[in-house]
Amino acid sequence: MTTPSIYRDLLLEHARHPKNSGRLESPDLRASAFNPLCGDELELTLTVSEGTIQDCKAQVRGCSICQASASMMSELILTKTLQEAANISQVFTESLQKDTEEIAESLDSLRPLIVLKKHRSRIKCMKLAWDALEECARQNQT
Amino acid sequence: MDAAQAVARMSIDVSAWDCDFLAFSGHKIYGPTGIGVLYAKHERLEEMHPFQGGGGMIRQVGRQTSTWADAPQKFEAGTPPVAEVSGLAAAVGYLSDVGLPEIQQHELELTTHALKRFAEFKDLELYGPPETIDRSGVLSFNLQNVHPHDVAQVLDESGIAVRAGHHCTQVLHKRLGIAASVRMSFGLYNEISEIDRIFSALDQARNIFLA
Repeated sequence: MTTPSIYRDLLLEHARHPKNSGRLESPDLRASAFNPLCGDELELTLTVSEGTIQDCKAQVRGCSICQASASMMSELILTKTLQEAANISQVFTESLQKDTEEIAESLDSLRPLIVLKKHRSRIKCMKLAWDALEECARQNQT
Repeated sequence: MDAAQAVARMSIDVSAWDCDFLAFSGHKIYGPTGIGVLYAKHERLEEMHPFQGGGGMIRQVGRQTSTWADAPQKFEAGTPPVAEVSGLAAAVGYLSDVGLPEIQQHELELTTHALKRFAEFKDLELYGPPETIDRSGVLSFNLQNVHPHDVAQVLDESGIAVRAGHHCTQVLHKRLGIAASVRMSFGLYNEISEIDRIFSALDQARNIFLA
């Protein structure tokens, strides 16, 4: 890929050896996301205590970007509150829509994904795990 | 009859086929988007009523009853897409000038070469017949253990545009037991050397994702 190789390597490392992969046995929250364009599927399971994410696993059937995004997200949101996680998701989504190369400090670990935003067709791949996270946050509110 | 895929690569004889309707789209014959052709037997058109009202489709309008223009005008309400019509006519003219038998022969050569190359690799799963018989220049496949979107991205970076996904055939993909596939399809401008470029790029995909 034309992306600087350091980002590519980081991304591929997450894709090959995803963190927090699989399903939690007794999750408090569970959400699925689906990309109808390519058939990718993702299920996110969370355990939450007093609003804080205690454990998190994502079961992914998807491309390297989809898998890496889920892995990076899981590392970032563990021990955060659901509200904080939803805020990160929102900032992440905004950064994918912006034309600037600037990346918020809180999203630094997601840089390998964000630099790929010029490939517009892959944004949905990056967003799948985050869509499931936002769904979990919504379920928690109701 | 849906002739969208066939019409740019083989001659079609609606009389010999005795079909009531035949449709194809402009953008699959190197023409504009948003326009296509629906052939229908005259008697079928006579049997049908207009589905839409608008300019150009009436004969006489009264307070209680109206009469319609003859087919096909009664089905062509409103302002026609004039630019698209001109573009489509130019595309049809272009295909006729090149010659459908020549296009078909060229595509057969490309497909034969691609199938030969596919047979060299055990980790490439090709869907559909392995011979050119019953096949046109559209080949769907997967590279083992690499997601179709990842394959497509690497091919894209080598200047090769393919489609990745389920190509509007979710049911077939379920039947094949796969989430998605990569699809290469040849145009009349493609060359044998470009097919070889695909297989070199697939090697890059192996290096990136399977190393």
